[in-house]
Amino acid sequence: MQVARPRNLKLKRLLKKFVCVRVVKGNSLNLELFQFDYDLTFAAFFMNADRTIYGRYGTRSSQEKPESDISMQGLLGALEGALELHADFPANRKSLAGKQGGKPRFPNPERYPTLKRYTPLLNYGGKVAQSCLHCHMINAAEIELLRSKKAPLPDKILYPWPLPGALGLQLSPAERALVVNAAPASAAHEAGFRHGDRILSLEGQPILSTADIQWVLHNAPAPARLTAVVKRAEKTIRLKLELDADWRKSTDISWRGSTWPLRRMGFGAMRLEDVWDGDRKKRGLEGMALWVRHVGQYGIHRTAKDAGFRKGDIVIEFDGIRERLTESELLVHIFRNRKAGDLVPVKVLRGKKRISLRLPLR
Amino acid sequence: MTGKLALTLLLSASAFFFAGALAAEDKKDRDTLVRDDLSEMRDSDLWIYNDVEKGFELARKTSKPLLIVFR
Repeated sequence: MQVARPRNLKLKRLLKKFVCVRVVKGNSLNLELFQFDYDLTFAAFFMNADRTIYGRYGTRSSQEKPESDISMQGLLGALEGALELHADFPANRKSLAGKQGGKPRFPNPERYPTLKRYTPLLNYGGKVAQSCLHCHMINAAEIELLRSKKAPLPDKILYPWPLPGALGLQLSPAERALVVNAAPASAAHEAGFRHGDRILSLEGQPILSTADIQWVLHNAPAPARLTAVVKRAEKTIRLKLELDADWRKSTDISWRGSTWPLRRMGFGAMRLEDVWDGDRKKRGLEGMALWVRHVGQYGIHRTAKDAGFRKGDIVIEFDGIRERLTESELLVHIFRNRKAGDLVPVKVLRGKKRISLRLPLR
Repeated sequence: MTGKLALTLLLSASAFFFAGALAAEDKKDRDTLVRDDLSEMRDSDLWIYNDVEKGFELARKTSKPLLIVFR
């Protein structure tokens, strides 16, 4: 492992300037202090001994390519930035206050009803892997708890840790918060972001990484007005980001481990995938066309199977909706508009046959 | 070695949280991987393993910042 057993000389030199702690379990995690994207496979905090957070590192946007969002160069840049903030501490304490999270529902994950079987320590003498509480289980436990209380799932839960792409911003994974592109007509473009801008702060918080931007976005309301300070050439420029009520909507949640309970409750444990354009053309499909890529088979994961769905079906209408939606968008529709126990009408294509089914929501 | 390649290796060598890494080392079961990881990290002069409070204490004594990695 390159970080735990560093070979990169610059990384080795930088790590010696830190007290390095590696945590491989979510058991007894301090949820008030360590608020990060729990669906990540690699996440890092830069902190002061008094528990002030300098920044976070770790971002992911897909199942297949975790390395496309982070890089060794990006981590090195963030480490250097953390050292700069440490050198300025405590004069910069006020600007770092927003990096601390609010009080969580529970102080540690084992307090969630669905995670009560886990103990604070790993069972190294027995089945140690099974005794490990994985971080993604924390999001899943929160979703399960809200659903069991028949409480609505807030956008912060449905669309956690939005990527800068939700604003139309593309950042370089190899640099510290460097803008590669601001998509035309996006909120970022309207705010005046340009290729080459380095984001120094967002909402007054110093930015070391994409994860730091995600932290601000994760806690931003909808609609929102956010202030960014960027460095462009030698100038420092203040930009205003105007985000509408649905600004989180383009966030893709399909790669997240914590999306599986949403699929179980909303899709009867099916995984759906938008049919790609070439295949749509070949099959004459317009509007909604979602492949059923997986159907759960056992126990609480067989709702869709029992309702008659099969792997390979193409969903062409769901709850009266025929327009083209991604799996993420359809999940959000369900959790915003339907409740557990509802029976949802669904139409699927099986070969050339159109079949009407009814899917019970959990 | 490029940064991306280095990080790919980083992501593919961990015992925890990442099923792909387990497939790469399919000769060892998950429990063995976890125990091996602990044995190796116990001897590290750089890393404190699974003990955040010990990290804060050392950071106070040395006036260094902390890097806490969840992996």
